[in-house]
Amino acid sequence: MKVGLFIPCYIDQFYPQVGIATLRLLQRLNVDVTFPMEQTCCGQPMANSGFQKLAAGCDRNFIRNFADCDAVVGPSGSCVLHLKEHLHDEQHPTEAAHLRNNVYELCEFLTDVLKVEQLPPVRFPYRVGLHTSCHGQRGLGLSSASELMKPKFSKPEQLLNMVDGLELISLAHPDECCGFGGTFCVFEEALSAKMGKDRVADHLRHGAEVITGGDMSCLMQLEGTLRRQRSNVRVMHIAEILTADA
Amino acid sequence: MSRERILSAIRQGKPDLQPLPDVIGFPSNIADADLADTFLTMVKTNGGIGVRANSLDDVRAQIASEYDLTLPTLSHVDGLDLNNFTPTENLRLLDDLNLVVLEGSVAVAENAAIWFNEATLGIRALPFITLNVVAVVSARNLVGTMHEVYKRIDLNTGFGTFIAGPSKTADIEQSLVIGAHGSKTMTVFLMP
Amino acid sequence: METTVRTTHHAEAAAAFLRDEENVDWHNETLWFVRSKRDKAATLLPEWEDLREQASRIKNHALSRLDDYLVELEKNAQQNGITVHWASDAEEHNRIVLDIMRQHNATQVVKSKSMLTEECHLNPYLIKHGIDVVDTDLGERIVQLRNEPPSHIVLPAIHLKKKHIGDLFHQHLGTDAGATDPQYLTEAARIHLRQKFLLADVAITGVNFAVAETGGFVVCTNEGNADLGAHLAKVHIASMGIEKVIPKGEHLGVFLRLLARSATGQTTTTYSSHFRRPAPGQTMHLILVDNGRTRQLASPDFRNSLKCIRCGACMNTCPVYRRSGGHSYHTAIAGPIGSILAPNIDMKQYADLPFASTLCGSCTNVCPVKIDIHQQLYKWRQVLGEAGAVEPAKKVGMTGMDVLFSRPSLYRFAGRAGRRLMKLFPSLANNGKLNPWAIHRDMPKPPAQSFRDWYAEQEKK
Repeated sequence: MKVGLFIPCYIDQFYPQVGIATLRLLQRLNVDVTFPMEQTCCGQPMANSGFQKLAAGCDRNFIRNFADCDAVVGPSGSCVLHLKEHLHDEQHPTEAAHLRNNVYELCEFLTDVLKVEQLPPVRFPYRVGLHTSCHGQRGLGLSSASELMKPKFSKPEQLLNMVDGLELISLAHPDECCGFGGTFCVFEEALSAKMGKDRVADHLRHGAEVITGGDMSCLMQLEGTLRRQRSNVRVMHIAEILTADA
Repeated sequence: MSRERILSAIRQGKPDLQPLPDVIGFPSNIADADLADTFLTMVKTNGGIGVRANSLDDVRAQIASEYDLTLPTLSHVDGLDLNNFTPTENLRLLDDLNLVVLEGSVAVAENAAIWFNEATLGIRALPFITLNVVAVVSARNLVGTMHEVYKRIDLNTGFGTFIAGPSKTADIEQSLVIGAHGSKTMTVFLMP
Repeated sequence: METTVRTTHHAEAAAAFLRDEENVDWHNETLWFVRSKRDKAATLLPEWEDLREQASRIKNHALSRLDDYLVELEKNAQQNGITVHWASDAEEHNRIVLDIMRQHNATQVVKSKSMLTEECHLNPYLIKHGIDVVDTDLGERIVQLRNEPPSHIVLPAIHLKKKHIGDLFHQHLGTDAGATDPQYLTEAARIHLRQKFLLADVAITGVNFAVAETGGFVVCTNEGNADLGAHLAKVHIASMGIEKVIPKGEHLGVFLRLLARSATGQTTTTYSSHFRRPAPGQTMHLILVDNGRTRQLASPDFRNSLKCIRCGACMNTCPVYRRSGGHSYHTAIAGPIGSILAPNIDMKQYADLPFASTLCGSCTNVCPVKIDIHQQLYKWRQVLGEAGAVEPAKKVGMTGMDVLFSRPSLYRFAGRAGRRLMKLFPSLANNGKLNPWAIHRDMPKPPAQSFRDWYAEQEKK
C-alpha cells in the first residue's frame, strides 16, 4: 500500500517537527510512505469562510499530488475532515472520490487501517491532557462525543495508553471546543481567545504537564494562550509523543 | 388568500414523501412491579408530595390534617366531599381557592405526569388557579411511559392536561422556586 | 453590483459581553449545568438515540405532507369550534391578532411564551395600537420590564443576575430595595401577574405541537402561565408556525419525552395542556404563520431546520453562545438554531450569524430531532459567500489564499519569506493591532526550515 503523507500548510510552515514525527512514526510501523512535494493546502480556510468555490485550485492541486496513492494520511483531523467532505474536481471526479474515501487522520489510520496494538518502544513519563479536536471527534468519529448516548471510546486515548509512563489526566469538559475555528480565531477574536483560555484552564486545573491532540490548529490555539500566560506547560502533537525517545 | 398562497408554496417546495416509522414508541424500561415506586419517586423529583393511601377515608383524614378545610376548598373526586365553595360563572372568583382535589384518570411512572381530562376538571382553570392541588390516582391506572399513556387517554375531548408537580420556575439565576403562577403545592395520593 | 453588509455584528456584541469576564464565566457555567442535566436525563433512557431518530423521522414525514396535515388540522379545528387564520408573514399575523382584539373590544392581553410572536415583533405592534400586553412567563416579564428581548428561548433572562432583577422589581413592583432572594422576587411577580391574569380580556399563547388528527394543540409550561391566561380570558389566541403540525396524537409521546429532557433535564414540563375546543362562553383562535417557512421548506439544504421543537439544547451546549450571550445574535431566536433560521428571514441583516460558530458540531449531537445544525451553518456560509454578503476584506483574503495555495512554488516562496519576516520582526507578528490573533495569544515561533525543506534535504542525503 502506497501511502501519501499529507502535511497541512501551517504544519509545514510552523510545526515541521510534527511532520517529521508523523513520517517517523509511519516509517517505524513499516508503512511505504512518500511526501508529494507540490502539495499545499486542503482548502478548508476558504471553504469555512464561505468560499468553497474559491478552493477549486487547492482541490485540483491536492488531487494532482495524491491521485496515485492508495491512502493519504495527515496529522490533522480538521483538514482531513474537510477533504473527506468537500474534495471535488469536476475534471477528475473518480480521483476525487478515491481520495475522499481513502484519506485518514493519523490516529484512525493507526487504529483502523494498521490495527496497531503495540507501538515500537516509547516512553513518555508525564501527566498528559488530551485535547479532543471537534472535527476529529464529531466529524471523523475518532472518539465518542459526550452528547451522544453511545458506548464510550477514543482512538487517540487507545494509542496514548500504549506509551510507557504516560499518565492521562481527566478533564471537567472532555470535549469542549478550543475556540480556534479557522478564521473564527481572527474574526471573533475576543470569543476565540476566551474559549482558548478556558480550555487551557481546564488542563492546568487537572495538573497537565503536556497538552496533546491530533489537530495542530487546536494546539496552536492552546499553545498561543499558554505562551501568553508564560506557562511552562508544553504542547505537543500526538505524533511527537508516540515517537518520543525511550 | 394567504391560505392558498401558503398551501401552494408548500406543494411546490415540499420534499418527496418521507415514510413514517412503522412503530411509534418504545417499550417501557420500568417493570410493572416497580411502577408505583418509580411514580412516587418522580412525584418527589417534580417537587410534589407522593403518599400511599389505602382508601378514600384515609385520603380524607390525611387532607384534613394537612390543609385548613375552612378555607375555600373544592373536590371533584366522587366520595370525597370537601366542598365549601361554589363556583360561579365569574372565573375570577376562583382566585380565592385554597385547595382543589381532583382525580387523575391515568398517570405516567417515568415522569409522574398525571392526566386530567375535561370531565374530571369540570372547570379548566381549577388546578392552575388554586393555591394547592391534591390529586388522587389509582395504582391500577399507572403506565410506564408517555408512549403508553397516549394509548389510554382520549384526545377527542375539549381539553386535557398532564400535570407533573406544583408550578415552578428557575428564571432568576436558575434557582428553582416552587409556586410560580400555578399551585404552590401538589400532593398525590396513590390508591390501590 | 454586489451589496455588502457589515458582518462583524456578532463579534462586536460578543466582545462587549466578554468585558465582564466574571459574568461570562457565570453564564457559561450555568448553561453548562443545564446541558449536564440534559445529559443525565438522556442517559436514563437506553432508547435515547433511537427516540431522536424517531422524532426526526416523524418530523420529516410531517414536512413532506405539510399541506395535507395543515388542511386536516384546519378542518378538525374548525369542527371543534376553533377559528383558524392563515398569515403569510409577521405583519399579517399581527394584524389578525389586532383584529380579533378589536372585535372583542379588548385592551388587555396576557401572553405566555411564544417565540413566534417574538419573531413577529407582536408586542411593539400591539402597544403601538394601544393594547396593554403583558408577558407572563417570569423570565419574559423580567426582560419586558427591561425593554429587552429574551436572550434564550427557554431561559429568557439567563443573561441577568438576581441583583439586576431585584433592582428592576424594586423599581416596577415595589419590592424591598436590595432584595435579591429568588423566592421573594418570584412571589412578588406572582402577585403582580395574578392581577393581570384576572383582568385580561385576551390570552395569547404559542403552540408546541398541533395534531392534525384531532385538530387540537399542545402548550407546555413549567409555570402554568399559559393555562392561567387561556382559561381565564374570554378569548384565547394561539399562534403557531406552520411547521408545528404533527400527524397523530400518539406522536406526542415521542416529542414530549424529548422536549423537557433536552431543554432543562426535567422528565417533563410541569404542565402539558391539550387544547381542542373552546370552553363554553369562550372563543379560541389558531393562527397558522408562514413568515419564510415555505421558502425554507423549498430549500433542500435548509428545510431540515423546520423540524426544530424549540428546546434550546443547542444553545446550552454551544461554546460560543455560552460565552457571548443570546443578545449577541440580535435575532429572536439566538444560538446555533437561530443562526440557521435568521438568514432565511433576512440574509443581509443576519449574514454574520452563520460565522458565529467554530462548527464544533455539539449542537447537531444534542438536537432531539437531529437537525444537522453545524452542516447548515457551513452551507449558509457558502450561500452568503456566493451572494456577496460577507465582508469584502474576507473575500480578498480568500482569493489571495487561492492564488497562493493553487501554486506550490509561490506557496513555498511565501512561506519562506513569511518565516524570515517573523524572525526578523517578531514583535510585528505578535502585535495585536496588526494581527488580531496576537491580542490575547502568542504567535508560534517560526522554525528554521519548513517540513518540506527538511524532507528535501533528507531525500538528498
